[in-house]
Amino acid sequence: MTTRSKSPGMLLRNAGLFNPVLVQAVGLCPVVAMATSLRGAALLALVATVVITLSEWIASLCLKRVERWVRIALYILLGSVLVLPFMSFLEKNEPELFSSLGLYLPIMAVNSLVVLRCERFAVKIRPTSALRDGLTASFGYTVVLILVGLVREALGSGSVGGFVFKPENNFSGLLLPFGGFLILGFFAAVLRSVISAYWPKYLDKKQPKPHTRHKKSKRPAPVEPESLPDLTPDETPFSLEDIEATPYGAEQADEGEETEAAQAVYTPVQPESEPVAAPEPEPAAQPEPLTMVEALEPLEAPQVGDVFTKPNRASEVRPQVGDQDLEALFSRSLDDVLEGSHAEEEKKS
Amino acid sequence: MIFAFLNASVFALLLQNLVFDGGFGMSEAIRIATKPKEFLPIAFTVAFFTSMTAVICSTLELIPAVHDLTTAYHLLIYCAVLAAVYLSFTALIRFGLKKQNEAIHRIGMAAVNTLVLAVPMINRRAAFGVVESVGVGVGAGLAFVLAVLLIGQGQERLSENESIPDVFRGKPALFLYIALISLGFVGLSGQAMFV
Repeated sequence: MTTRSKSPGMLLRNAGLFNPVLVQAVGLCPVVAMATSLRGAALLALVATVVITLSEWIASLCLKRVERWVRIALYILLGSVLVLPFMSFLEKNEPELFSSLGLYLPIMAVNSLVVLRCERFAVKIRPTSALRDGLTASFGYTVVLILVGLVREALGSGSVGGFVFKPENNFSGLLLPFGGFLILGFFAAVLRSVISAYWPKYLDKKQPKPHTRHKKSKRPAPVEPESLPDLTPDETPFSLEDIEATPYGAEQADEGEETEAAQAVYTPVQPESEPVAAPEPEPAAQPEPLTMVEALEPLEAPQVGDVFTKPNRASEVRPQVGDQDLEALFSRSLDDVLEGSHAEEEKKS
Repeated sequence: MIFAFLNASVFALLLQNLVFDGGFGMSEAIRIATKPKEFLPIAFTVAFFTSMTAVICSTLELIPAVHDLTTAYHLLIYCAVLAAVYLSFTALIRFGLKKQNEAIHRIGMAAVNTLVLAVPMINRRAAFGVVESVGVGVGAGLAFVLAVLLIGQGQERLSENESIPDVFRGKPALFLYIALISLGFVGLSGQAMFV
């Protein structure tokens, strides 16, 4: 078997490589306790999809500014409000199914999967991305629920979807949580073997969190001029897509701008091999602070190729001027400056 | 009164262990069990939440207007009680004891737990009084502590075991280990395995 070198998409990551149940062991309660039939599992999957997706979307839309400890309480209330319509509908129209689901339908309101996805992802990304994240994670959850429900109904009750094919001598112990964990163990092993065969670098890895805005450094570190290729301006190796895919683009997106760069960063490409630690660059010698006169001297006229070979002198020179010098410069009025220049001309003449 | 309390506690802890027999709070138990230094404080925080929520919800059930509501509206009330208990406790920790944010994050993990919401629901279905409700709350909390201890110890031994095949390492082995413990608790409840 060959390993996949291409970075997996969001659906594959959320539903497969970082499956909420089989890989992360989150949201186990409904799966092990209530996914005992195909019908019940499908209903729980529907409720879970609605609760997870809408909670993530609302969290991304409204709760980013709310403090984290308050958000947790809001997730509880939000979950109960989202489950309420399902319960009211089933209580009136499907009382048998409602009673068979017992406690497990109401407690979907506090499913740990909802809080985990909201806190790890939804409050850090755009609402549309949160919606996609919720849908893909719910899909992974739904697949596990349906498969576990199908196997347990077939082996434990001798039926599939209500159609009985083996009425006696069934392994009814599988309908207990014990059976749920047993089947989950084997499903998790199957998924693990698939991941180790096709995506070994994702084995036993935690799901990466989306990039958030860095408070300390807004821009990426400046590139050393020596590392840049010697090119003419027409041969610039950077395309617009490259520039948009930089982490700085993601920071802009975090601040509310709708760019595709955030998605590019949100789906980070994992390196094939362990990255070699780059040697730490020696600290550059600090140039001596310039005097006021040196600072105001006109810069050398740049040539066309200098942009790629020489450092930007303006960025080096200007910050070296002391704050007091700058204040003195800006405190001089235009007349003072003109008078000074006239006096110098008279001295020369 | 004491007999009723102990009866309910033993029921929730052993005969119908809510974590292994019911699957409630299992995700949190697994997550907390991976943090050996902090798992006892978090587990006891869960026990606190289950007890407090059970006490308040069973007291509210004494009000006829609340008692007559449908299950759907009971869910809303119980969630509001849980959110209020969580906010009060966290505010006390945050502003009163000047604790760090990390501790507050752990409280959130303990509060958003299917076990905490399941206790008042079970009390309502079983028509327990206040004393029995508190007994179930305390028993459920102790069941959670027991689950965390068992899973934590099992996880440690599983990670040291070299004879486990590669595909079963990690979560698959842990699920099978929990299945076996759950089977043990099924034995205490006396349910049939083959019908």
